[in-house]
Amino acid sequence: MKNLVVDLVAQELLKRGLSVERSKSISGVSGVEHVFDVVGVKDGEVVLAVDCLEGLADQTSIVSLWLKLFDTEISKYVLVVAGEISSEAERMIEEFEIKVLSFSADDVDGFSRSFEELLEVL
Amino acid sequence: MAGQEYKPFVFPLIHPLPGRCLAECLFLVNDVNAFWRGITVKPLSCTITPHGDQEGLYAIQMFILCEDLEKIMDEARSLACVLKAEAKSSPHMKVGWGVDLFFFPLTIGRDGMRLFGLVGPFFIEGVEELKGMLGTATEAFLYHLGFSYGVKLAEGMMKMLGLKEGVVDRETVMTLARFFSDYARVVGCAVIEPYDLDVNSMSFTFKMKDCWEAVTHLKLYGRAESPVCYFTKGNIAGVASRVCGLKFRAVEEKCQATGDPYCLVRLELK
Repeated sequence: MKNLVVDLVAQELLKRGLSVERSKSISGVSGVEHVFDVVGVKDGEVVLAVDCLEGLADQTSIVSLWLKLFDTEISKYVLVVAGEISSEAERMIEEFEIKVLSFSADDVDGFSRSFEELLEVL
Repeated sequence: MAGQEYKPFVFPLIHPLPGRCLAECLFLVNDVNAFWRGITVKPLSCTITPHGDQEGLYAIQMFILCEDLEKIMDEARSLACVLKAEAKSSPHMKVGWGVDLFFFPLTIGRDGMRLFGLVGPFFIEGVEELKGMLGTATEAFLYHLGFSYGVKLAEGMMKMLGLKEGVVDRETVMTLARFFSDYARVVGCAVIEPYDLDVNSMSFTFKMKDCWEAVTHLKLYGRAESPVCYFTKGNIAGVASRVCGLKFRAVEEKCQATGDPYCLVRLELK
């Protein structure tokens, strides 16, 4: 599932003239290396990072993601959730203002459209 | 390792003597020399601190063997210099764990700010457990926590030393670096010393010996593949950032946990 999401995201980023790197490791201010599933790169700079969470997105996974964003100072980020989101995680996503898209293998076109729309406003 | 150059400070919080019955005594005295002349019992350990604001009044706290308790209390009460003599014990002290029961809390600084202690190995074990859930984000969190704490620490140090904000000359930086080193040493963080401080180029490197994170990691998990002192290096970056009014990030170039003889933390401007 994750590979499919990454492929779809990569296609969309390439359409927009960005180069794409998968499983991109970015060093945070702390020196910790954080890995993003796919990033869009322009002029050598990461301009957008996307992760895909499979299974249940819970508080722990959201805290971990947020710390990763805080440490790397990535400002444009999309989290794709291919599974359920717990109510506590939903509250945190809202609080941390993380952009989230749901993914279902039954509606690949719908996901691509939503991702495209999200890129417009990011 | 700790202990080769410095004596570890385990007293007065806990004096361990497993299997023996311990008691803790506290004497308020107005003549320390007269007190020692009149006491024949040998304490296991002892601290002498000024008591309150009254000049010449001291609190002498000590751990002794229970079998000496009656004797020392009799001796102390017979001395004119002893204004008060008290003893305490608890079930775990009866089996050799002499925990300080008289002093609470431990404080630091003129304002009497409370010092809150953590047991290094348990903390690191807790961090490892958290890493099982949060992954490497745990280490990032530690770094940023250390950084924020460092900013506050620097504000406190500047206030204590009466230093003005925004003054970044070599003398000020050296004063604060040394003060921070002293503080770090007292709280058991590390023996930190300036390694290369160049105010003109804003190039700062610190050498750390026996950093609590490195030493504890090494003891618990053996040699690490990469540096581990996230909290401490974040702390140094936070202090330096606040002092200089700039934003530094800390890079740990050497780490005792990876087999180096000491840790080396270099600050670079963000």
